[in-house]
Amino acid sequence: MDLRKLFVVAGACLFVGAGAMAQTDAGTPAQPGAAPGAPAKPSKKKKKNGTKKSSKKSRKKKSSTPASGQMPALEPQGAPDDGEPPQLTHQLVAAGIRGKPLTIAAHAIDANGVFGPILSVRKQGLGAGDYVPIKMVPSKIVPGDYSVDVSSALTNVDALEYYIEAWDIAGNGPARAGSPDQPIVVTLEEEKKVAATPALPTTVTIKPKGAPPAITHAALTQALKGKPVEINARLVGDTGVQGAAVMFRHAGEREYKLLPMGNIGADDYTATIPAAMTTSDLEYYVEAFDQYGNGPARSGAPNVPYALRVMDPSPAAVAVPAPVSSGSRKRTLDDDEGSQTIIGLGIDGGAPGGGGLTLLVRPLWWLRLNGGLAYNVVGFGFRGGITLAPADWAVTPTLNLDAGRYLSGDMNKFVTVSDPSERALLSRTTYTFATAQLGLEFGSQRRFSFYLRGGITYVYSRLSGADITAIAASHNGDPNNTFTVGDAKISAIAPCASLGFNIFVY
Amino acid sequence: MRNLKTIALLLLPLLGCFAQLEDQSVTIKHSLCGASGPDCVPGSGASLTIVQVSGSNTFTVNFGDQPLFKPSTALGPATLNTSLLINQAAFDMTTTGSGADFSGVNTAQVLAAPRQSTGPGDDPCATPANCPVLAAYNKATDGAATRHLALKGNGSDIVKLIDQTTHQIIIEITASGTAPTPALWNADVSMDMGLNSRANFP
Repeated sequence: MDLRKLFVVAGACLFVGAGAMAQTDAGTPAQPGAAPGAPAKPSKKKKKNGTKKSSKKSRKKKSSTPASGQMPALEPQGAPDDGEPPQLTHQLVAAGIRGKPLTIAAHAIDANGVFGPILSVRKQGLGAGDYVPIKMVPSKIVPGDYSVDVSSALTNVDALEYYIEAWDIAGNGPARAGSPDQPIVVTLEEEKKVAATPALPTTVTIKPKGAPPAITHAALTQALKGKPVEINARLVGDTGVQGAAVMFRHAGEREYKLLPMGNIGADDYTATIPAAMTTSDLEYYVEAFDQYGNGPARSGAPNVPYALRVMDPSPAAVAVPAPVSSGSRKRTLDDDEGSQTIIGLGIDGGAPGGGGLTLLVRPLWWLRLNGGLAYNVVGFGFRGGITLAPADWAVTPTLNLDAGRYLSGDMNKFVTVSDPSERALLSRTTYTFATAQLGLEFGSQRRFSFYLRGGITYVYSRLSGADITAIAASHNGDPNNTFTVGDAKISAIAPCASLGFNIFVY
Repeated sequence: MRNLKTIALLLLPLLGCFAQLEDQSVTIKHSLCGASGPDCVPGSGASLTIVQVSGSNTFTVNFGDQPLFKPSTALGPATLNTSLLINQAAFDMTTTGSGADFSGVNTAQVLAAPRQSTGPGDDPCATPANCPVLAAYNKATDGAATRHLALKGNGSDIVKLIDQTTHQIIIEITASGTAPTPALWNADVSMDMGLNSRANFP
């Protein structure tokens, strides 16, 4: 049924019903000034006794009409009727987007209270009876502000026409913005879409939303064996914090274990390494993400973890940690005087240098001296050298310079020769060597590290001229010949590789 | 690509890898007439052209099958290249008696001949280009010789002249001046060489 006709019928029923119940009560017909098709509006109160009762009945009847969904329940107003319609102000809406909800707002105030406002909207060009009334919704924030979203089903046209009416509770009005005859026109246009044009290449920077949280953490350096270790950190992020965790491992291990951190209020997080894990020295770092997955932010890092020395319980107090900002710390031997070891042993093996057992001394945290025995199956010798370790990381690059001499050796272990002269020469193999190697050391520079090295080696040896003369004589093809050979020099530069480990004990 | 550059940089030092044996004094001494044989080189103060040994214009020196006296030797994946550069040569008179010296010699040359001489009238080095000079003596510049005649080497690589089958090198000696006084004489001819064997890898 047409909405306008529905309201006419409802108004007639109300009029008849009210007249039958009380002869003194006159039903309120539709206001002559009201727009056709507009929803029913409150009747103007009469200034006679019983008016309120009559009004209540009237409202009761109205509430049963089909249009009641658009009619708010009216409460008696304490203020006297000022006889004036509400003050209605409205910012005209001239354009919108086709197929998108269209928001129309108005401001209406009245001392008696405002009924409505009612937005009446129609497709441009339709008849006066084709307006669709929509009650505007009061703002919860600004008193007197009303708005309504015209649904996208109604905006899928070229243009709309609308007007707004408002009454006060006493029925004064309507105040209008636009009118049924001169509605406000809203032009609806297609949504502008950005067409992909073959423009010149441009650099597009996609800025991720959010940022990793900032971590402030007081690094721990010591803990007691068999006791839990509580690790605290302050994680501050504009876009939240998630995935906060302590990653820890025993010194010398490769893989970290994850220990989630819990929020203990505000920006403070904590995690506790269980007592069962504090059996030996630990390494750890803290990391966290924001709610968008940005990160991880870290304090410490997988390759630069904090070293947590686990000591036997004793009266000695655990050192008070010093605050450290994330990413600003590199461990050095000087950090922890208690664990600064300077003397150790090294064992290695490789080719062609053979193996060695060396005493290690570290006069400076980045400099290591070594000296000891060398053995290469052929024979024994001695050697010494220096190692430059410019960092104390879990994986530390090194430069090694070594030199030594094999004092005796019998190459006949490796070479099969039958000539006695050649055997004699090979049985007195001695040589001097120097080696330059780059390496990677895995583990702690303070305690135990395993390393791989590669580089080049220079070998120098001198062969006895007498021995060579004997060899030449043995191959002499003419008895009228005599050979005399001086000392020969053998030298070589060759690739070399070695592996081994260091243990610092003192 | 960056990794390849890094690897190439790390391997760069290996380009200079080598193994080398050097001996600056390898001397072979050869008796012209044999250590115990009779003197066999004509003397008598005659004018010198080609020094005949046992009636031949050439003689051979057998180096034997020496391990390193080969131009190249396979040594695993590498090749050992050898050079045997002559430093000097010398004649040491072994005949005793008056006039048994080289004082009458004005010039002398030790040549590497391409083949054996077939007789007194056959000179394999008639064409000088066929016979590289290994060492030379000039009285005017080197001084008069006595029982010892030293010839300066010119850096020839002997190892390329050694026959790899017979291990021999064929020598011809040319000279000017006058021969020693004895009717027959003998001398030790020695060649001092510098050995260098080197294998580069990879």
